[in-house]
Amino acid sequence: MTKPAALLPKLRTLFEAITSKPGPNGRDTLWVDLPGPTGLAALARALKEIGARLSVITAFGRDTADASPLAYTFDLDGVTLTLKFRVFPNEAVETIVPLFRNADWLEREVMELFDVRVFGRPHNRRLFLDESVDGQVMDRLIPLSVLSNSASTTMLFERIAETGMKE
Amino acid sequence: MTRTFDIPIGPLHVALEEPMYFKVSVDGETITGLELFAGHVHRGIEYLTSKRNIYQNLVLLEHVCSLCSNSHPETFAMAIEAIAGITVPPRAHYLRMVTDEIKRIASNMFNVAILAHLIGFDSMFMHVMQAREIMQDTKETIFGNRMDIAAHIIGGVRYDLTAESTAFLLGQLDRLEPILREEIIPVYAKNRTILSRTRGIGVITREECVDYGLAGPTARGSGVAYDVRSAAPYAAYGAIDFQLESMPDGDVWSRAMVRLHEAVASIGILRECVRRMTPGPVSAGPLPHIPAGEAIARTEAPRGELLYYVKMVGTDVPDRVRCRVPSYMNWEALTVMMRGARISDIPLIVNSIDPCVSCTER
Repeated sequence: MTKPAALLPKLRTLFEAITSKPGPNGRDTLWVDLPGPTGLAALARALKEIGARLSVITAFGRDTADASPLAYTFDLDGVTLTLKFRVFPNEAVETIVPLFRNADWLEREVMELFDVRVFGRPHNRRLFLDESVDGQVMDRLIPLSVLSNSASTTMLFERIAETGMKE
Repeated sequence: MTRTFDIPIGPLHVALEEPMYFKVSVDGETITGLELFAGHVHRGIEYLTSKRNIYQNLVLLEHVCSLCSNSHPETFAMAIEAIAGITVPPRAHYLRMVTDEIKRIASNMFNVAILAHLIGFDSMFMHVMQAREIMQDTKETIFGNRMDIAAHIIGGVRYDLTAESTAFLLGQLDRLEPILREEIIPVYAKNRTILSRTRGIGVITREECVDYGLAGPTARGSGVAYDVRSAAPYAAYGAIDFQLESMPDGDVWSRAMVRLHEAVASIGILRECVRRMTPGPVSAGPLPHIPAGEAIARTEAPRGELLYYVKMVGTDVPDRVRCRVPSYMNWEALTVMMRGARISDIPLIVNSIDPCVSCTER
């Protein structure tokens, strides 16, 4: 029996619907869609009790309903399990730092780069960005790619040419 | 009488040539607290991946880091292959492992060499770096470059080993192994200067490693015997027996010894790869359409578990690429390792997690 298959009965006592998707090298990965952020900390505690390690928290850009999708990925002795849910701007996610100490940096990164609110944390000091920079900064500032693409398009030269003609 | 101070170390400091600012609280010579301030060179690479197609991203991601440059495009490619259902040919699996293990030897030896430099044992530093040149020359000869080897494509690799290059690789391993086994490892294991500066220094327990979610040689130095190559084998690691190195004491010395023994184990894996490799294609060929989907891929980079979470939306540009590097968790563990340590041990303890700011601040 593969590791994911062996884990499924135990995990089905925690999650109503758990799906298995093919991963690299034919190794399945496990996924759970949660209705929202409520209850995340309790589920994280249950996973901790069966030996889970927090691998990563992934945030995505806001969807058409202005919600931020979040994914919490855990490792269970070589098997990855990812809990996915959406957070609306008026909602907040409970911290899991008391359960998984490595969640501190992961939560701070999600908070500052994707403007997701996390409550229950001892501090919300910025990890990478200066306090003066707004959340979701990557979506709000001019992307670096736009600037750098000027080197491979005619846009920059057309602007220079226009300026030169005006002078 | 002792006095308490906060000592600023960094962001640029001779002990760590990448920027990270440490606010170290001390009581006399003893460290009582540590706070880390990051973000000095954040490059927004995760964001940039959603502005480039998958081929451009292979190049971009190779530049996240230099010491584990190979692991980033490999893990990204594995995620895309899982989404598109691409089957990597057996020979390509072994060729990927060859790149992994060559890079691991060079990376581990670099870290252990720096340890010798930090304690003022510069003759040993130069000896280890000179031995490491055997692997650097190997990379340059086989891949044409000493750091960013650009070996991976989606569906396989873009290089092959000929009979001549295979013989060269095996010859290089035969040169390196006795130097590691008979010269370098015995010195690190027994030299009084090294032992006095590294034994019992920067200790983190197994339980604390689990609590902080640590990975790689940093965790294995505290007895956490977790390695993606054995826990969730990728490429052809599942077909190969290799020694999983771990040590119980969790100090600077244990982490260094794990890295040295892993370098020797990598030599064995490389020989086994060459022995098992059969003729055949090195890639899956032309790519199919990459459908919408998401996948998680993991590899064991030199510093530990590297994880990529990739979401595609049916175009050749990823919607999201999340990269969780092994150094990321290991930084926070410094607060534990430095507890009660002396100021003079700070560079050694920082080096012992094999820190990578360019990975951390992708």
